[in-house]
Amino acid sequence: MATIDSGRRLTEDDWTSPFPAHAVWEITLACDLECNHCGSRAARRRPDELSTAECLDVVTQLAALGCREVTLIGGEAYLRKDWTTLIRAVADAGMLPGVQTGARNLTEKRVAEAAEAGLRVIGVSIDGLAETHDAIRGVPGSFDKAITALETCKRYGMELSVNTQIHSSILGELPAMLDRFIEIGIATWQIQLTVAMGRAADNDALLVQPYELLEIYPVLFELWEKAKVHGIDLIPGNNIGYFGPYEHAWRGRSEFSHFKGCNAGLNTLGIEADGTIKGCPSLPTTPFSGGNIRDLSLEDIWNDADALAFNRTRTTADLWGRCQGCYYADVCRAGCTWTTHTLFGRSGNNPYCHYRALKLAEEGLRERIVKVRAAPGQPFDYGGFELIEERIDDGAEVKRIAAEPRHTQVGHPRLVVLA
Amino acid sequence: MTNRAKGRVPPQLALCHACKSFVKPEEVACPHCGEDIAMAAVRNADRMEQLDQAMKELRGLLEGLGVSTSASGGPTGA
Repeated sequence: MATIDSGRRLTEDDWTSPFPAHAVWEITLACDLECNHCGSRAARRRPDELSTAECLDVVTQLAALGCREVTLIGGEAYLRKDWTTLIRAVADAGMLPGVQTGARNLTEKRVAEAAEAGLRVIGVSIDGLAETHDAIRGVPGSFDKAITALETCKRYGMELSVNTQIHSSILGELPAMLDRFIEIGIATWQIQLTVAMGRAADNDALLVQPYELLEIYPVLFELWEKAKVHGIDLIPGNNIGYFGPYEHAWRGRSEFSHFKGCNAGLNTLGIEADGTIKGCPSLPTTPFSGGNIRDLSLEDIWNDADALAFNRTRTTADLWGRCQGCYYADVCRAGCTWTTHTLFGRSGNNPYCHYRALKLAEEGLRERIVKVRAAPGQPFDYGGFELIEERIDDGAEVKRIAAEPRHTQVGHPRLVVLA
Repeated sequence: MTNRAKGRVPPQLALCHACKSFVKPEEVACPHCGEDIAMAAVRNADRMEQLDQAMKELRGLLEGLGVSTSASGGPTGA
């Protein structure tokens, strides 16, 4: 099956002047699943979600800024009665509409309506085989519903993607998952690490430890190779990496393709259902809200809001910890902002790095995180974690870096050298 | 000046074909494995040419047997 990938990957030109090439839009926080890793704690709709007219105006503004692709998410996007109106508006404006879904109630009727409205790509979230997926999604039978939805969307000619989170229970299930996806005929499989946000911060046993990357990434690379043979593009998400021995293979299609840093506010935009604008849909609302579409134009927020501009001004001087002196510091700039800010209340030091884990292992060291502060219980919130560097052989603690106070970005982390 | 004007073109790294690690373009010797980067690139190009030739020969043999050779996939080494 021919893919429609050509216009979806970022090009070198996309980095030269920031514009929202890809927008990810939470059109409602209402959800029919109860996922215990949900960063936005989706359940009921927000009390002040944008109206249809306001949403259509957002579509017009996105197109005017040069946006190429708009992915509708939730909550669960199809729980908004006007979701196909928005799909059609995105397509009519010349942008590629996509939907990311848990698919519990993505019935054939809904699929048919979405296809008729112009939906050509759909991503279904699957986080394990049936038992594991259902436990994480909080609803028995949700795995079977997700698989059925993929098969239905296939019949309607959509390009299929699966999004999977790498959590603490999934590693042994990934090969069987790939076999299932090969049978179905998906086009892409996007992988990302579960991040300590929202309910995942509550259920922190789901989080993999930084040192476990040394076990996880070789498995992912084997899967990448097998997927490639079967025509499936296994795509590492922005918190997978960085610059380890598989970077040249799984991130791009030439020897010049490699991770280029967090792209929040550079070529990615996030929209919350109440009109809050962020540089990336996953980022915490506070302190990454650049304003609300009800108060300012999208162009003004994109161009002028400091909360969206952190990647345009970030330098290696903003990095700290082991990232500060890294060989790749000026390219990587500590990777995914979302992943690190939700751990430490401050980005710029990322223990979820393959290269870093390998270098630490050469020194007989490894890193793990420990939760020290609970998240308050709001959508897109986070708690606090300490980063412990310890010896592999006897577990003796070498360093401990504390989390920043909540919702601050100033100051430096406390560094306690114990040995 | 608005923030929009502040584009950030990420540095482009090169690949050491000896250890498959990315390196800064000005490097002569790979800081990760110590190999001469230019020589490793030449060796890799030779290897890829040999692989390409072998694939052509294999494809010819298979097509001679009436086997379709249009499947996707191929060598993963860059």
